[in-house]
Amino acid sequence: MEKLPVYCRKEILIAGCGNKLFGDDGFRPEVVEYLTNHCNIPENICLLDVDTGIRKILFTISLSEVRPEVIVIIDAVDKGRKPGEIFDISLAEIPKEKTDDFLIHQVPSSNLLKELQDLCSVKVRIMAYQVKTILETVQPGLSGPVKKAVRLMAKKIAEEYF
Amino acid sequence: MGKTLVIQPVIRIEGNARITIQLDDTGNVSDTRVSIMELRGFERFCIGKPVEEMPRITTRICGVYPPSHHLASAKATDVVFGVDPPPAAKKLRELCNSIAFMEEHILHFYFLAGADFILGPEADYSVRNIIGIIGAVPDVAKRVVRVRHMAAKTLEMIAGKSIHPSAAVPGGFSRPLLEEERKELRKMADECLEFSKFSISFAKKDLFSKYLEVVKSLGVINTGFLGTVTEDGLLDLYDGKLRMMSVDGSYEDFKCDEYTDYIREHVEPWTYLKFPYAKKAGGFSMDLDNPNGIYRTNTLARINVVDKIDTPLAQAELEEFREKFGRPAQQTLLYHWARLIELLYNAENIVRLLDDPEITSTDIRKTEYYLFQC
Repeated sequence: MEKLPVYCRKEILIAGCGNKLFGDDGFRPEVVEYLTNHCNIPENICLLDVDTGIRKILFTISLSEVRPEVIVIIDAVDKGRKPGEIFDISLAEIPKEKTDDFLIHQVPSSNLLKELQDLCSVKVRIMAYQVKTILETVQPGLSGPVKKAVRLMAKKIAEEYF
Repeated sequence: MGKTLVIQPVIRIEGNARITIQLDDTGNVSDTRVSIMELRGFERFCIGKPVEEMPRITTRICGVYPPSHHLASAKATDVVFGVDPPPAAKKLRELCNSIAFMEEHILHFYFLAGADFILGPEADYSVRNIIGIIGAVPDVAKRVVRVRHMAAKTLEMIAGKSIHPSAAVPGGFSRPLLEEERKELRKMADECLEFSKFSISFAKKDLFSKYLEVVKSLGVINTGFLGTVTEDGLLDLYDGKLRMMSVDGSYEDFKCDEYTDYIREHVEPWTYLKFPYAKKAGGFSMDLDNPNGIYRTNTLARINVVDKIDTPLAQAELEEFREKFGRPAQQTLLYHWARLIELLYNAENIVRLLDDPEITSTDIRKTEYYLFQC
């Protein structure tokens, strides 16, 4: 067994973290699945479907002597834009948007990401997408516009990183 | 009314909280509230869903500690379907549980508590963080990463996925452990045990000893404790009965299905956290000088309520702990010490379970009743 997890050893970590059981929150795992099935993942990239558990991975990365240079997080936001729209948000915007909502424990701990960026020189990028609705009941399945955006997000990632 | 101080985020916990300190006109603290910002909402999310789906749904509702929710849900479905899983299935579940506890205890001690102990409470806040730990004890940091990596791999091998395990099912476990896998896991278990032994020895010698006076005096509050024990009063993290210990150390045992006979819940509008309290106390009060009905759970509680631990190294640590701090120990910072005793117990338990010939049995699920119901 390797001494370090693969997500520490690769230059770029692309993490799809989201909850498949809550409608549009399941976008991110679907993007990872799309990329895995349709693209050749370059050697320097670790593409990970971390579901709702990225926290553990970030803890390990922060304490590891070897870390990725870039961490790309695909994140769900509700900014009143067109559902399925893809755009970047800064790390500082995460707490404002999600500090008090019930999904916070499932998304990346923003303070950990901030520590990684500020203290470990890891570049953190948040690629966001506009959800149609935030569900409050278990209901798997993406809304139409967000489902269409899966391929667009995958294409954007592949063009920029693969 | 005086000033209000707000601390948010609170970074030494898993999850999110806000601390609000209310000062009076003279600048003294008049009230303090810890608001837990995370709504679990399990009960609501689960309404109308097939019961056999619970072990999969609950792991995804809470990203903080999925293995516990997975196993608790699987145990609940056993009860619903009236099945008693075969011994090998229970052992595999217990193995998953011990691995998950070990991983989390390492995380908590080194990531969340570590900076304050390793860098020291007097160190500047700007260096009291994970980077500070790497600088102060680089070799320990490397071992932490490796052992957590091993724990995650081990859980993945047994339970399908380390983040969201899926192998526990109603009536048992979905796949047997193969002999080749057992051998591979056994080697890793030895390294994990060595690290656990190192951790408690390192903490006692280099960390706790330096701050013993602080440990004895900071955040001491006299409460009851609740934990799970076997029928014989031994430490049990997977099963067993509940033991409610009073402030004076006397205790009462009850079965989990008698929960509502012994525990009530108090609710406050400023936090999602509920406040379960001992029904027997007749009421609930958070008055620091005279708390009523309040009991604590987690590591210190479990270490307080058990009579013994049935693994030799952890039992020796328990004896030393009790000699130093008595029973029940009320010092809040002893949660960290108790955590390391449990870390050692889990590491020993993993080795014990992997050495058990029954762990590779293929008799891992009872389906008769379940199939009949379908």
